[in-house]
Amino acid sequence: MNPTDFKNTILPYKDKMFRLALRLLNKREEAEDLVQEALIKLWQQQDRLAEVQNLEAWVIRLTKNQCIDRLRGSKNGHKEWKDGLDWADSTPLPDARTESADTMNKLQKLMERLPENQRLVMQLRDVEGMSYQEVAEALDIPLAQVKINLFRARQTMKSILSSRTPQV
Amino acid sequence: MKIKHFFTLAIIALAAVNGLAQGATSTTASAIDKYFSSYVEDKRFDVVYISPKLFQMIGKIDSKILDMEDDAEAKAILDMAKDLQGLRILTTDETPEVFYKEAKAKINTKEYEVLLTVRDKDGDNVEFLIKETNNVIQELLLLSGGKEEFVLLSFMGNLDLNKITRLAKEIEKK
Amino acid sequence: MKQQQIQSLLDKYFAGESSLQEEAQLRQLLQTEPISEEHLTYSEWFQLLDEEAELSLGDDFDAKVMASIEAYSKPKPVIRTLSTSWILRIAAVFALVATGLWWLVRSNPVEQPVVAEAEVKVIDWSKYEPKTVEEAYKVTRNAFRKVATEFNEGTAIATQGIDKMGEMGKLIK
Repeated sequence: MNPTDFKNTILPYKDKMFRLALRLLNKREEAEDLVQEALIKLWQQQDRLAEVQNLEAWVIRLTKNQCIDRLRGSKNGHKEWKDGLDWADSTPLPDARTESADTMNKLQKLMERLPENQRLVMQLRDVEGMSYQEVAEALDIPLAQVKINLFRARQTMKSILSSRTPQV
Repeated sequence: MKIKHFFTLAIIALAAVNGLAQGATSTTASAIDKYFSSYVEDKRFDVVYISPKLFQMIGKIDSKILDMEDDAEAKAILDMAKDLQGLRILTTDETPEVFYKEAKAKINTKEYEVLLTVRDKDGDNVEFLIKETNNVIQELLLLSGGKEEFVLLSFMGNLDLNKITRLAKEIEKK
Repeated sequence: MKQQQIQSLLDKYFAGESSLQEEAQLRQLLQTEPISEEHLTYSEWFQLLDEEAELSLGDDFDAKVMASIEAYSKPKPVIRTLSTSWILRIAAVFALVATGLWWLVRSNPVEQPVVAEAEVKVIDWSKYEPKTVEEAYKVTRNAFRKVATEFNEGTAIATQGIDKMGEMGKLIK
């Protein structure tokens, strides 16, 4: 792959990556920074890209993992090995990491209330318009989990939305 | 070309160790059981066990379904998993440094030999220990303790150091 | 009529039962039809989602990324040889350690310690098994990753060990 190929095949995902990063990190500059890092990482891994069947899922997953690493304050996913051990864990993000409320847009403020795993599913489905199957592949979770997370996220949104007056 | 010599040597030596390791696999009760038995019921610890049966099942599922993110890594892992007789994990976030010291004191150094000691960039102490019977590796222990967590991993079965190096290489690429 | 259709699509949406097509239809209806008071907040929600989907990075971002990529692509062969030689060095050290251990064990068989079996409580390990194969795989993968990561970190130490190779050699002879 040469830089031109990269520009044509991988770079077009940048906005989707950015929106996902923003959803998790809640800070524009940090999200932008992360996407840049993720793209460089993809470039460095290009010899493996040839084996990848679903490029979009791969790109999204890498972005998500980079975000999670950053949020957990770990370098190179060093502590990530424990992932499988606390699979039931769905704690919301630590507040200290999120931006002060007034610089966030409305959607950010609403979605911020969701736990990470629900937020991710909702982002990919409701913002990016991906199918359940695509979401499952991108997040590496079973299809049934996608549906459950989405259901919970939408239920929460419904109760938030119905309790507030429009045009806040 | 020093490197070349190293490489040849590495291949020969690993092949030798490998050949030895191809022998019998037995699953005698490990002395580490004694250690585990004192903590398994302890609420402060997370415990996970993967049985030989689960390893068999893992070997049968399609690697693509599991982890399309990383084919080479998944392959290396499945390849290693098929040689394993069991995996036990014990971790805790509470007073990790104390537990690390305690574990080091409790583990019988006659039975387990230190393979490698690492002090990693997070300041955690890590020790790899192996147990061999008749020159066959029967168990690999990873003991790690730092400010944040204490971890004891016990891989039982025929563990191939060569394969670990290969996996380490896959992961280094990331 | 349309209001009823909107309501039923909304119900489906919040129940997590709508298809992508139905969701698109719902957005369409909320944009084109007059909105009743009760649907206003939902209409706003979909508008926010649509706006979010438009968020993008500027062209200067492209330029920045492509510049770093071009920069990365040049010294790449150098990095490659370097990392390969590192792997070889680790392999070499491991080979030596392994050979050394093998020799030690061979020439000096480890006494089999007598384990006081009676003291060992029988543990019901099945309690601690993951419920699905996928989880089991994840746990295994993470455990291997942990091992491999620490292995990688051991590189520096392993390399220092090369100096000790001479001593090892003497041992073997």
